Amino acid sequence: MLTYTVRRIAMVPIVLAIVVTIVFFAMRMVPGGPAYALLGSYASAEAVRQLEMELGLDRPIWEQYLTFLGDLVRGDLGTSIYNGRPVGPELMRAFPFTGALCLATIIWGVALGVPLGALTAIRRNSLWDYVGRVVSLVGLTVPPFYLAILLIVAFSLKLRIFPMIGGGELANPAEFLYHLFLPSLTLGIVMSAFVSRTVRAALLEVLSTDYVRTARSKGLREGTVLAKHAMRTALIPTVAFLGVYMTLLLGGAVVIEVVFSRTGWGRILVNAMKQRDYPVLQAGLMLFSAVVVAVNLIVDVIYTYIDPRIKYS
Amino acid sequence: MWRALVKNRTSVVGLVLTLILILIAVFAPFIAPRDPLKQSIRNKNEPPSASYLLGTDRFGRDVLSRIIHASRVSIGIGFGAAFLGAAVGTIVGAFGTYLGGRTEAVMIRAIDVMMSFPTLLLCLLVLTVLGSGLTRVMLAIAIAFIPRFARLSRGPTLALRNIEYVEAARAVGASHLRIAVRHILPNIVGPISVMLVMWIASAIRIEATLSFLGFGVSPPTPTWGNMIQEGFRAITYTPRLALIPGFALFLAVLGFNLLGDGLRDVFDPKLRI
Amino acid sequence: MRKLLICLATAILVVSLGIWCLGQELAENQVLKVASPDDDITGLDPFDFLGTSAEPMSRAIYEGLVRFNYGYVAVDKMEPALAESWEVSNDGLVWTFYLREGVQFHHGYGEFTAEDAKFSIDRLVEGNSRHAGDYATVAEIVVIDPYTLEFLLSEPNPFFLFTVGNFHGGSVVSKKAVEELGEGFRSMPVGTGPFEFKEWLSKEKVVLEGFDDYWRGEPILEGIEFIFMPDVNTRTLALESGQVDTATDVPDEEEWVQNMRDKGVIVDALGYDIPLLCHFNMTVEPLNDIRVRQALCYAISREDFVLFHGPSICKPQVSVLPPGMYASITEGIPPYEYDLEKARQLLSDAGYPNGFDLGTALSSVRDLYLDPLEIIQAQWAEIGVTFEINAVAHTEYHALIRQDLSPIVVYPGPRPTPDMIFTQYIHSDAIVGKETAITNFSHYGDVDCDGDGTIDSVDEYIELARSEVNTERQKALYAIAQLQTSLDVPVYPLRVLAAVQARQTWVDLGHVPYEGSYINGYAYTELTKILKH
Repeated sequence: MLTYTVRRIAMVPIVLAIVVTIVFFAMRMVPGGPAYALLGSYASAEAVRQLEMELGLDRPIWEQYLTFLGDLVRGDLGTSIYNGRPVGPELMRAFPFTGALCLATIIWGVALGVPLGALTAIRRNSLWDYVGRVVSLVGLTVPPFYLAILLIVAFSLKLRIFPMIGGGELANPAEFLYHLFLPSLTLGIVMSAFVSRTVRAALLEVLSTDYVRTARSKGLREGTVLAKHAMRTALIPTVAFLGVYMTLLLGGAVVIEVVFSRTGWGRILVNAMKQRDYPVLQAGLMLFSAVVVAVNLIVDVIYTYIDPRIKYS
Repeated sequence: MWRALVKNRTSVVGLVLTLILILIAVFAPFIAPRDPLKQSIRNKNEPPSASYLLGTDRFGRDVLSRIIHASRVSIGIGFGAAFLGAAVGTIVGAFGTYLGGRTEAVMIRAIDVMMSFPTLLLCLLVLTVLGSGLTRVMLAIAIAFIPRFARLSRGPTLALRNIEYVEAARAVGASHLRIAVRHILPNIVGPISVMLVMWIASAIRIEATLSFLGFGVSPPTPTWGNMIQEGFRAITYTPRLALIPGFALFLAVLGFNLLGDGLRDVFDPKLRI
Repeated sequence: MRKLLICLATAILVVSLGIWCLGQELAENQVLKVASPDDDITGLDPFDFLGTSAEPMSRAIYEGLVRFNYGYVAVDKMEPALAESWEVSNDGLVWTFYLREGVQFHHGYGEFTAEDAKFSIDRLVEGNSRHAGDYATVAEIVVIDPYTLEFLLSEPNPFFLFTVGNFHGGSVVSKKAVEELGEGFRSMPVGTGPFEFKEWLSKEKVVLEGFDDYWRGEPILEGIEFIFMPDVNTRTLALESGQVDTATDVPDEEEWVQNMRDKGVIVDALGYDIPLLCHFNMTVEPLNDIRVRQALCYAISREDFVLFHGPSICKPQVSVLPPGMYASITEGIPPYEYDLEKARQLLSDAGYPNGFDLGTALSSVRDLYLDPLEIIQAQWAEIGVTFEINAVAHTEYHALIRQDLSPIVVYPGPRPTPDMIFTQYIHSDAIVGKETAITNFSHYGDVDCDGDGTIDSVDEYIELARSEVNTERQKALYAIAQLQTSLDVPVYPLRVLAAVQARQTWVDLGHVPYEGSYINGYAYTELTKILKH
């Protein structure tokens, strides 16, 4: 187990290196460099030439790559071409917003999805089952951006209960949570759809197994049977799929951050793409995949501890 | 098999819905009452009437005709992306797994790298580099799907890799390629197809999101995604412009999801995702 | 089971309620919230080109020697700002400014003197800033004494006052601060305006604070928050729900404006300065044939454009200079009014009785560029002229059209003076692909437009008008240039839009909003305040 984990960790820098290199070269082949982002409709040929020279973009591509690698080794993640600020601190500042969004989404997803899944499994083929499955279908079928706008119109515009802009400040936890509510609820609804389906499937399987039937026949109350045996087994695949959900989550976070005008890695990356802000894109993608790989690894490790049936070779 | 399929209520609803949508998409030019691109600015933003059954959009184009034609593009992209991703991903995954050893290890690493990106982010990246447009959107989504299908096809291939008749075929001297094509692939097509339907639904949803972010199909070609995007600005005074294509999108994704659910219940109850 | 569900539902409800209650505790104060349309700004140094979001910030932080008057923006109506008065010599070559005493810079950087004003402009020219071109006719700036400044021009410039106003290069910066901060000045600007820079949270907001020592008086507002909200729908919803106080870059459609007004939001439609020119790339066949271009003009209905945006915010544009701009004329300009018959006839004469295909036209994904192109596409389809639209990322669009890759370019870039419009769009030096290229997409000035064997151009009129001091003569020169341009049809003017801004009823700007769309957004002054609501 330990050697497996170590090997997985060792892969991380290699993965990152490949990702960054591909992005580095691919972006510089795309027309419309960052000079145009800075100059807009006032871009004259001379202004563009001069700006590209200032930015070092007229040097041969290999030279740029080596400079980049050199900086990276020294821990310098580069400076944003667009706003002239160092990339590292910017990403660090935005991280808690995205992180909190993901965490809150998982909480919503579990809080809404587990009972829904349980309900539909236990009251199988009843009205509750069908209602529950329809509700969970909403999360599966409606794209997050659409759900977000609908929720904003309902809760922020018509009812004026929650804000629709910004992420608040870390220094002020109350405000932070206040701004977190709607965005995380939106993604949480989407995630709960997946969670409820997994829970339902797992529960259905467990509920029909022999030992549950035996427990029932022994006269144990329904509640105890459920709580003790069934749920624990049913939660295992939920945890397993957390890794899968993470990537779904992060994709959703990108759009949610745009709609709610929240700072976050998703929004930073999308803008970097639109504005051809190479340093931000490179560093951002690198850190992003590092985090995803790390989270996946942690989830996998936790999973092996929960479910002794799994063995990694 | 058909009897089992029809008995399952979910799959019936899904089947009916998807068939209707596919028919609409295929016969769009005949069903749509007007040219979806023709503008009549005089009649912009008109509510539903006898001449414009679902009203007009801000260029005075017929919303109904646009929704119908959008089904072509959205469903077309959905199918195209899913099939392309599935085909390439399955072949790569099956082949790589079958060959084993270093090839398999490298393939697994590559899959891991690609999977560490959320689908949406990967699509955005591909579209940034390749540019936008209908074929590129389809390609971008397909590329994001490839590692997922590759991973999906690993399971069944692993199971089949050591089966006796494969060993027998090797003993007789059949080449790897022949074995893969004749014995492995046909047996994994089944489970993959079940998943394929769900991925079509996913692709349709992703296209909508890409349009919303400004990376989608160029106007004036209608897709449900860019119709929603255009309609959102008027959400508080002409909500139907965003709600109608949203509903169409919902029906399509729902249909394919239900069909996928039904297929899975019938064919492979063990795949409970 | 049911009990569990009820417990869970109650828990969720309680938590939500709690969070909501916490949120209600947030205080109200005199801080203006402005919805800014970009993802982020590139910096606040007037040396660089500042975009839509940064301009209102710049106007709150910096001042010029003079300022644009509220109401109609005109060079003869400029008001004193950092300069109390000024005079110009008879030959138009010497401008003398008498500066105000006792004006303080922000953050304790000392008193404003003529040195700072000279430094502010010198650094633009020396560093080859994007705005350096505006000062090409300034030969030297002389500091007579700490409160007197002289500009020595190489040729008379009737628009000179624009260049020392509170716009672009005219913003006065603190010499001490720039020398001290260097590159850092971009994110720590120091000016003399009513608001001091406080902080810039990248991609989140820019916060300004009221500058207590402002020379016109302490601002009523405590501060201004420019919040980045790149999604136009979010800006709309935020306005409607009162979560922002003002917004700029909003949809240019009358329905939107009407809806806002119905919901109790003030919408100002200011000036009619956002022009739209359709440039024909005359190096692309068959656009080199004047009959084809004329046919395409006849096939466009300007009225449709006006209807699309709404007559209260849109007017047709007939000449290269938008209506209302100094020296703009309409008499004598052929309007090429909507006439499909004529269009088809001309096409037929040119040898294309069934129309033709133009290939692919480029557009940005932004509505301002994409919407008109969609309208033109539908209109030209009526006479059989077709093309595909390829909508690309905004930066890519600007790069590609300057590489001559689009047969037509529909370009809205507003410019404040006739000279800038002609120099950048019509003069042959500005043709894309050249060393001196700016935004002449039609190649006008280098090609034979009307098939008579000679190159057509209005270069000399542009150059003469640039330095003509006598207004009558200058207007006449621009008139000739406009007439000639409209006869040669390298471009087809389409429509002018009013600059649409929105603010809540409780925002009292303290002045009449600027009538000029190239000045993005509202101006926030020491008199701006938030009323009780």
